[in-house]
Amino acid sequence: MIYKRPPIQEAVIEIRFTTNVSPEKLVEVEKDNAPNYPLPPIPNAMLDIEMQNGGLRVEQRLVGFILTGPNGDEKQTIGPNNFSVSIIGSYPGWEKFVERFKRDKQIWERRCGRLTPARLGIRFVNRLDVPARPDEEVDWATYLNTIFQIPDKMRSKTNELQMRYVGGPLGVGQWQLTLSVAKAQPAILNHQSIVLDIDIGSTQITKVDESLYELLKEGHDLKNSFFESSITDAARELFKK
Amino acid sequence: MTAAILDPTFKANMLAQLASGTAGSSLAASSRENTIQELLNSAAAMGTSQSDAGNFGELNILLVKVLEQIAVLGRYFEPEFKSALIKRVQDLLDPSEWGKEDALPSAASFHTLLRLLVSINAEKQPGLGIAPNGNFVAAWHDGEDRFFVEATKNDLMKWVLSRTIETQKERASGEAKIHRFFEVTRAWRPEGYIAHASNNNRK
Repeated sequence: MIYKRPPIQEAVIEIRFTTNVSPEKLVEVEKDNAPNYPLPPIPNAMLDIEMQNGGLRVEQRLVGFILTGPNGDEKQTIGPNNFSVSIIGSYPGWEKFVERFKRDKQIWERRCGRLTPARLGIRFVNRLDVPARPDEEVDWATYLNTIFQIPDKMRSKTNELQMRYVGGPLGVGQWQLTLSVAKAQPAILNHQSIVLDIDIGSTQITKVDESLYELLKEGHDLKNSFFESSITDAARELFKK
Repeated sequence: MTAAILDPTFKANMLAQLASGTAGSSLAASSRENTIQELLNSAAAMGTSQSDAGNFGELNILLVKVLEQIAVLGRYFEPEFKSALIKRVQDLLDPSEWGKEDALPSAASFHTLLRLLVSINAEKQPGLGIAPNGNFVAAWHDGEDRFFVEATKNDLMKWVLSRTIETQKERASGEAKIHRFFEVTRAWRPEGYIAHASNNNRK
């Protein structure tokens, strides 16, 4: 379903591989991506700490970059055995999002070759902003079907909420689902926010060819059905305003 | 023991060192000419003295963070308003316009300002500036009238305005938490500043 204000806060497609590439290759990939991600790259590093001869040996290793598009909403994360594309906020639609993934995958393959894939992941983080005063107790089940029931005698005004469900395998891709719901810092005034995070991954991927996109499509369809079945009509009304 | 680190100071050090020795060119371009060894050397410098270009790297990281903030709340802005806001922020945080002695702007202050823009349903793009303390300042004008709002990191808004009402120019200033902002400034019809001139029927 298409909404006027889709609640997508972040969408991610990630592919992981069975082997690692060198830090030098990562720098090459980062350079090749510069035209599409012109904002300063943020290096990611690992810190290794070892006890050695009675002292500490500290070593830092570059393990990738986070690249950012011109408007700050398009991201690419590259690591030794993975890369992902993501969009914050202004989700352009699935087809355009997959086109960007294809483009960036080609750049990756130009430098790193066609590595054997290990896992394909799709993640959509949705944020629902519900009109409510900060001290108001919101019945989140009005908006989400995935809220577990708390007996009245266990309820309190603290109004904290965090839950996670892990399920699968689902579909041809034997997707593993991790669904998380958590109350979040209110994004805007006079509202309370809750995050519905749908994260699915498949290891039923052996090579990077057209079958990858078929698998991706199945994953997206599954994600959509999980989303629509997780929200209520009251939530849909929020996205129409 | 191995631990992933995403410490901003660490990143700032790395980026700052990558940027050192360059002037005028973008950090993105200069950093891409560095080798992996330089990156690792930068990493090795973590916790040691700040590079001269410290502000330069941190300013770029701030730009990324601020643009992310706009993206997260982007659904509440009209596309044209959002595009114009992004452009203004990019111009404001252009590293070539900043000296290394300048105080870095506050990302938390910008977040407050964004929340204000959403809550007041701003239609007219404000001018943006940075106060000496690093807080973001929004400025609107409506003919001869002026309205300046400073956003602090803890949701406190400070405002100064001049407004002509019934031929009498009035001046006022004050402070209020963001959720009370419209209420305490209502007497001076702030919505008149923030609506488009062509759609200014709320004045």
